[in-house]
Amino acid sequence: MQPVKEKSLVKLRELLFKEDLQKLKQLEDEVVHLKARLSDKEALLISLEPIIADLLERKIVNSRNEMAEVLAPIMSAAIRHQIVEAKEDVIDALYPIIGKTIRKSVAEAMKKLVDSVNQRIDRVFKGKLFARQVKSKITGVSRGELFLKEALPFQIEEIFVIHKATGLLIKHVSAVESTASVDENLISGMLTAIRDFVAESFKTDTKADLNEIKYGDLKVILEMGRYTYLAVVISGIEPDEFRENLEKLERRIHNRFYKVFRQFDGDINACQEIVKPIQKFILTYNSAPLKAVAHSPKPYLRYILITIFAILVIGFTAFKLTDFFAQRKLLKQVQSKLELIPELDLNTIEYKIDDEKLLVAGQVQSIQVKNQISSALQSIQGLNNVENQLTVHFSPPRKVQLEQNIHEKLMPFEQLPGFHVHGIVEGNHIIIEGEVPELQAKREIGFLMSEIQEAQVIINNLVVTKQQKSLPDSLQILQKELIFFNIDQIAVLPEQTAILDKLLKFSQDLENIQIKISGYSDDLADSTYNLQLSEQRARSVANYFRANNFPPPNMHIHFYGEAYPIATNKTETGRAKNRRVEIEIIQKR
Amino acid sequence: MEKRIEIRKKICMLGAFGVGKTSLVRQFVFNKYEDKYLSTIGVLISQKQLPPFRKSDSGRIEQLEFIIWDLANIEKYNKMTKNYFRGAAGAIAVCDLTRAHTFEEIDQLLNKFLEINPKSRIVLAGNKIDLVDQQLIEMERFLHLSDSYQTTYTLTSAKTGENVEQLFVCLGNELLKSE
Repeated sequence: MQPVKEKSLVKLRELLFKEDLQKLKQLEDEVVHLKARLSDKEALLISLEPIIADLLERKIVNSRNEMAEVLAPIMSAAIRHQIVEAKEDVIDALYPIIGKTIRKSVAEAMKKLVDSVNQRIDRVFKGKLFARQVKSKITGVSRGELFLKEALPFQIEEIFVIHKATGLLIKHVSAVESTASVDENLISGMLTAIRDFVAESFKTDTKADLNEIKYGDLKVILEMGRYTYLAVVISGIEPDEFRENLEKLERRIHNRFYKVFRQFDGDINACQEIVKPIQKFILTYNSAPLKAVAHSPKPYLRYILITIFAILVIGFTAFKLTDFFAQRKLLKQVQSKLELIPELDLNTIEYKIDDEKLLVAGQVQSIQVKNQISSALQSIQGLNNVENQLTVHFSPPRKVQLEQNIHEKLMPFEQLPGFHVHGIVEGNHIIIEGEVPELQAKREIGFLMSEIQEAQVIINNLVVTKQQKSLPDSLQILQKELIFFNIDQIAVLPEQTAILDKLLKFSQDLENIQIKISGYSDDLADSTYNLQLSEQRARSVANYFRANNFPPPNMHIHFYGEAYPIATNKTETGRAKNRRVEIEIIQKR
Repeated sequence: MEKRIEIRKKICMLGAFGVGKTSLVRQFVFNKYEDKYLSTIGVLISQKQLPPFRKSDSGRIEQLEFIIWDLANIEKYNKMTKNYFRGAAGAIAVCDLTRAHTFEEIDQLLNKFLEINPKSRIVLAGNKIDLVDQQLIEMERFLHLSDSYQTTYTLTSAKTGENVEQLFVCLGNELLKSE
């Protein structure tokens, strides 16, 4: 009976608690589910996110200051850390945002600027406002931009057509009215010189050429052609196609005038027609009509010249800077040395250094001063060579002293019959005048004068009264020439043969001609050797005549060695003059 | 009115240091002279019109205009000098009659100039005539130099102006004759 009872009880329990049991089971399931959700953080965050966000939003709205205070240090530290750790990433991330921001900002600023310009223009140029507004509407360009274009327009100012080889100006077309000047030719020459200068100074392997010179708003564009080049002076900003069109203009001019250019000999009238294509070209770009054409440069050409000079000064300075400072240092040394010579007036001389060679020219008052200068300059280190080209110009007291000296030397001659001689000093010259009976006496006096050290130039104007008697009356000297020889040499120098040829030509059409050939030497060797040397020199000349078909019987050879010098043997210049052969063409009557 | 034919010619001044090239240009051109040109790029360019000249054969009147290139440091001959010589129709070769070595230098310069411009015309100038006497041996050498190049010559003084105009006119005549 017991099992039946238990079954009924269970059934009754089920009937009574069925609904409660189901609810219990449901609650158990929900608890399990909640436990699972709580253990899954990701899922929990997803669930809580909208609630927390809502809560935070409310909190931030209600307690903004408190929130900022709390979060600021945490956020700052986090951002700093991120920037340090991943700088590049931060930049990459910000770049597009910042770029857009800047562009937007600049665009807004420009818009404000243009608006501001527009407003100002409207205020200032009310008269042109309407026209500009219409143009702006038609073209779609703002009034501000139109105004800027009007304020800084592109303009061709000048075009020069220059002959490349000579630098001569072929044609000059000017776009603006100007006053006449000669500068246009000088500009052409200078531009050509500058082109050469630049090409030579900064030359590269390529066939590069100077093609542009800038100065402020002005620009000189050089467009090279085969025979000529165009120098175009422009202002403003050149349009994109301008260079291309300029090249076309050059080609057009070449095609039309190349025959004239090829044979250009300076006749500028042959190139008059060239002005037409140039004028047309200028009118393509310049809105204003041409006011004046050709032969009329303007004041700003001066600026071009100044520009050119400025460029060159910079180039030249860079190129020669080292030399310049070295030379300046040397010149200072030279000046300080010269200032130590008490008798020297620095205003009477000039000097310059060239390749460590010092050239000194001008006038000094005595040989002593000249020699002092030479000694002083040779003591300067770094000067490889000193060329003293100073001449002596005697001061009045020295002149009197010198004339006294001359007088003393001439006194023995003055007492001889037939001699009337006197000497004067003019500048650095000693001039001997008067009469002597024989040529030999004239030479002796000349030689005596050459012994006066201070005499740089001796002019022997003595008249030989009995000279005609030294030749028979039947003979007449038609021509006399001198040729010179190198030290200890007997060969006729190639450059001297022209003189001998001239004498041969002179004599070939004449009858009864004889040639007197007289050889001389300097006094460097002994007299016997010098006599032989002078003979050989005379024979060298005779051989030349013989080789050129002059009959030997008509040649007379004389030789005198070191006798009869025509200049002092104390200087190399004087000795060079004495190493000579005199040739006289004599005709028998 | 008879039309004048304008002819423009580039000419060069040749000569050693101190012979008076620039002084001759200064004397001749007189009204347009800028020393700074010379010191800056080594060349002084001057311009001068010669008196009109009537050609005997054609009878036409020709007006020569000289563009004169005067080179500094010409004695230091280099490629730059060669460029400056290029295209010259003529040259004035200047010697200093008081310094014989300037004859040798002009000889060398003339050779180089004529290598570049073989058809050009030359006139020889014996400068500083105010300082010398014509009987000097230098004068003979000067005349020989003139003969050897078959050039006409003029004795000048840049200091006094003697024959300076004549010198340039002489070259002008040579150039017109050679056309």
